[in-house]
Amino acid sequence: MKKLYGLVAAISTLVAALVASSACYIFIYQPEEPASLRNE
Amino acid sequence: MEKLVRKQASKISTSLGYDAEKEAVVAYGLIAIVQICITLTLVFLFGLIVGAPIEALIVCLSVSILRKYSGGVHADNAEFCTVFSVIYCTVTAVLSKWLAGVYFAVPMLVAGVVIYAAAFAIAYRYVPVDSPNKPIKTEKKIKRMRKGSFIILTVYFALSVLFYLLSFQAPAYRSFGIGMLFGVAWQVLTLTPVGAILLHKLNDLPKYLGKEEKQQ
Repeated sequence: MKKLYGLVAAISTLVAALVASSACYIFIYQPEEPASLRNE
Repeated sequence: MEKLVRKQASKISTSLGYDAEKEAVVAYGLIAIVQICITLTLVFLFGLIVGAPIEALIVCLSVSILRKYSGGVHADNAEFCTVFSVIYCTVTAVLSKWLAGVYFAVPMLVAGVVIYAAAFAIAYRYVPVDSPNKPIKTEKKIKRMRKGSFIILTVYFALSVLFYLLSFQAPAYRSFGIGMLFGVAWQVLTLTPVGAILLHKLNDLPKYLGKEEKQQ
């Protein structure tokens, strides 16, 4: 289970980093961006 | 949906011994994955039901790819966002198919020119449109987002011209081009104050309807 969690966490972090470089989430809802990803 | 995803992210982070910041990053990415998967699947399924799956996906993707650089007004919650996206993409996909059936080349050309002229003008005036949850302040990022938006709009324009030219040989391209126009039109509308008022009114509609029912 830990391996699966590790994989999900890695993919999620990668997607979070990709989304962080854009102006907003690709759909019309924007959750609060974590401080470490902020590149204002 | 967001609460559920955050719960899962918390479970994963606890199991991996992550701190609060790492957990927030995992949750942020996981919300994006879930939202993209659910929205695209529903748009495709509803598109299949109405007989226009490709048109529905064209509308959805033309909005979301441009949005990545232009930004735009936001909904208050993920559920409204998904429901609204699915309804808009499905309805405009049906409209695209219908309009393709009563298609006239000259009005189509005029509509395309007007929509793209307005899109470039609105993008020039407003891009990037940020939100309190993701502010854009540095000149460098503003320039990057503006450049990206104009590149994407130019690519969309080239694709629309291509669909228009191909539609003389294969009528199927008519609805693809019309779908793209619906996507661009909606996305640039969400950059304007009018679009913001419209979306917030739609967002508040369920609350308003709930109040009306309680009063009765």
